Amino acid sequence: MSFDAPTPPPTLLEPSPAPCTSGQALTSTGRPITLRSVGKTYALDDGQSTVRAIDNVSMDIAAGEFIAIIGPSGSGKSTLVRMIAGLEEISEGDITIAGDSPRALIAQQRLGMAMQDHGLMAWLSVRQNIALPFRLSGKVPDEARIDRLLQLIGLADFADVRPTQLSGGMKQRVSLARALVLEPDVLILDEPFGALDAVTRRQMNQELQKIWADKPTTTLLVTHSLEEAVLLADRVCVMSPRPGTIASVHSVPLPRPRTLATTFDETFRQLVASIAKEFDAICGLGDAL
Amino acid sequence: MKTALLQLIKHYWGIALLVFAWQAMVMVSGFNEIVVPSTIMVIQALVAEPLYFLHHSAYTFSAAIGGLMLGIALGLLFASLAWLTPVLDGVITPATLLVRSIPIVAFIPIVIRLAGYGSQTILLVTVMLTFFPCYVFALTGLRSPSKAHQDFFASLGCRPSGLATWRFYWRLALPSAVPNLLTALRLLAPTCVLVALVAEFLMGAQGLGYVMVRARSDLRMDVSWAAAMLATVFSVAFFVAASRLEAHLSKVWRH
Amino acid sequence: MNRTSRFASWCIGFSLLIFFWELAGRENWLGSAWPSLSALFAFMQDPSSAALLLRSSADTASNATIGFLLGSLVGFTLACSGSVWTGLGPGLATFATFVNATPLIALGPLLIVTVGEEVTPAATAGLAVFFSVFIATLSGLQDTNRDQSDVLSIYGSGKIRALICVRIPNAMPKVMDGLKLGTTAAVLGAIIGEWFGAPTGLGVILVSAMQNFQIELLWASALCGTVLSGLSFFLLAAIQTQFIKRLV
Repeated sequence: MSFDAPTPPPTLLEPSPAPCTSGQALTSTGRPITLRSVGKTYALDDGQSTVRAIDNVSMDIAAGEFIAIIGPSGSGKSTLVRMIAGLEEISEGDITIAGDSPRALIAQQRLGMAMQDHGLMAWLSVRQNIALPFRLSGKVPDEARIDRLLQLIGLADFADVRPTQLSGGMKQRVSLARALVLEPDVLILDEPFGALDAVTRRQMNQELQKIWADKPTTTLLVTHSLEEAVLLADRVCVMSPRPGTIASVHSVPLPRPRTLATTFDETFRQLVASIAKEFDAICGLGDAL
Repeated sequence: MKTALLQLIKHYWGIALLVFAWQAMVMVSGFNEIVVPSTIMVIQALVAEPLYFLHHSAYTFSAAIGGLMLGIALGLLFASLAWLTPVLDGVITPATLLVRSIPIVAFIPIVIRLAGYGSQTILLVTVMLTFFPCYVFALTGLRSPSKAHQDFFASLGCRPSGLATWRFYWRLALPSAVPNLLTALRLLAPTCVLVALVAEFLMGAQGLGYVMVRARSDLRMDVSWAAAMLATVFSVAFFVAASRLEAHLSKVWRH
Repeated sequence: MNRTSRFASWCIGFSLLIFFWELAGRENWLGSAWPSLSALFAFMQDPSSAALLLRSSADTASNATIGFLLGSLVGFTLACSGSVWTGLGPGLATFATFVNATPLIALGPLLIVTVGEEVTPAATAGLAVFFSVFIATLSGLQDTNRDQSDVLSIYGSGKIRALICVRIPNAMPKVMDGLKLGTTAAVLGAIIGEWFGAPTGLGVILVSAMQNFQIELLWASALCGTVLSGLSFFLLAAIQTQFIKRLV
């Protein structure tokens, strides 16, 4: 096995001193997240054997920081963010979001979430879908905010259309707008662009960059794409295969706002390449190189 | 013009064949026209007394559609209760299996004896027939929201428990059940018309089923056949309308 | 544990049903038209009524059987013909919709004059079976595996061979379901047909018992109808399981 820049697997990660460069600190909102020795064990259907999905993950995420999590299939990336979102029980350790439990965050409706399966309601129009979080939290929809999001995702003309009539990329944009409509303190993006083609995906990356910069918040993005991770995140976490642990963390020193032009930048290329090498090694492909 | 005619033949040759066979039978068999009325005679009978047929058709179809709607409403109500409290499902599901094995149409004479001669009997039989399938369809629908939908609702603190139950039901479970309810409507629409006709046929008071018997004993076969034809046309129209509605909505509902 | 508790709840439910049925009959809760189970069984054990019930059931059963065989044969053949002569397709679909929605009883007036009152029960039974088998076969043939039929077209096999080798085997599960529904439809069809003036059969005694307030006879004949359709259903279900066992 040989690869450059062997970052020793850290157990405890300090928040990067300056996660953002250009003026983001001024507008950044969100809450900090702390993970302490978080583990997850699943019981299998036979009721006796168990599977260890996540092992001893500790991490500190600053308020308003954008974290990307990459790793091979089955490394428990989704499980980790679902535990942070309060959708999955935590077997061991502790997750706190500004001192509260994930469940408390959900109860206050301060979490936004977008998944690979966009999960739009087929019977509601685009506008009604984006307004749904207001309805679920018993609030009157803020029409001005919805209009602004519709503008941002470029679907103002499609406000009254049903999701069936939208393309895959358009549906994901609606799903993003829905996740952001309550201005959440924590945003979880679980492979939101996983089902899109490469071209649309690049477009969507830029869109997300734009929408996020409009109101930055603490964000966790699970992705399979290294380019996507590096383009969007302040820090990229690489997870090892099952049981999932954090193998390494890479700060992304690229200035914001980033555009698709950033992906041709030399620093960007080098960063992607070095993470890719490490990623291959983690997957046991190091010798093949 | 020619292609339109060709299309018409292509789609309706089956029905055209039936009408043709009927007319051919009248001519070839040499049956008395009083015994086997011709196509024209039946249409003449319809046109001669439109109000008479309208009255009896209205009776039959208000009973059939009313019973169907009542059955669907009750099925949905009980399915919603069972969705809330699974214990109830343990009581209703075995009953569903039991009722499914009973030929309900054969029990119509019993229901007539029990409930009396009147439209309440038709309503009762229709509800008996539609309630259980509707219950099963509705409950499956209420439980059908995808994992992604459930997760999205959960991420906003909306789970089917406690105070959020109503919101979860109203915003997710109930809309998800709509396609299933429409499938039930389509499947049960012709059956309800059949049940109404059979009940009227046996009770002999009002409705198209009654006209079929009554006209026959008056040796007015043309009127009897006209009633039968009318019942068929309405039943088919009802079924087609229900299918169209289902097809249209399921296109909207499923991505 | 779960299965035993479910079985127990079934047993309790069933005993409760029988208990309340008996009580309702004895106490006349639901009027005189609801017989107690004991009276019903006493009636059915009486030799003369037992003979009547048995004879009527046999008549209905034979009508239903004739109808079942004819109806399933015609329904299956007609549905298959649509996939050999593709031009028939759209018309067949319209015809299927029509057939699906036609109330069986509306055909009664037509049948009694064309085939006669005695043959009407077998004819209505046959039509009822035809309805369910025709529609099941048609929908079974429609969902043929695309890849399989592509393979057949690549090797240039004809429509009939494609039908026999791929489409029919693929449609078999749905056809079997259609046949299974057809058994109950046959019994129902025979009973409805007998209401149009047949000399014998369960339908005949159902109507005469209803008109003459013979409550025990009314219930007993309905019960016979249920047993008949239940038995034929289970017979076909058993055949289906055997069939699947051999196929897999």
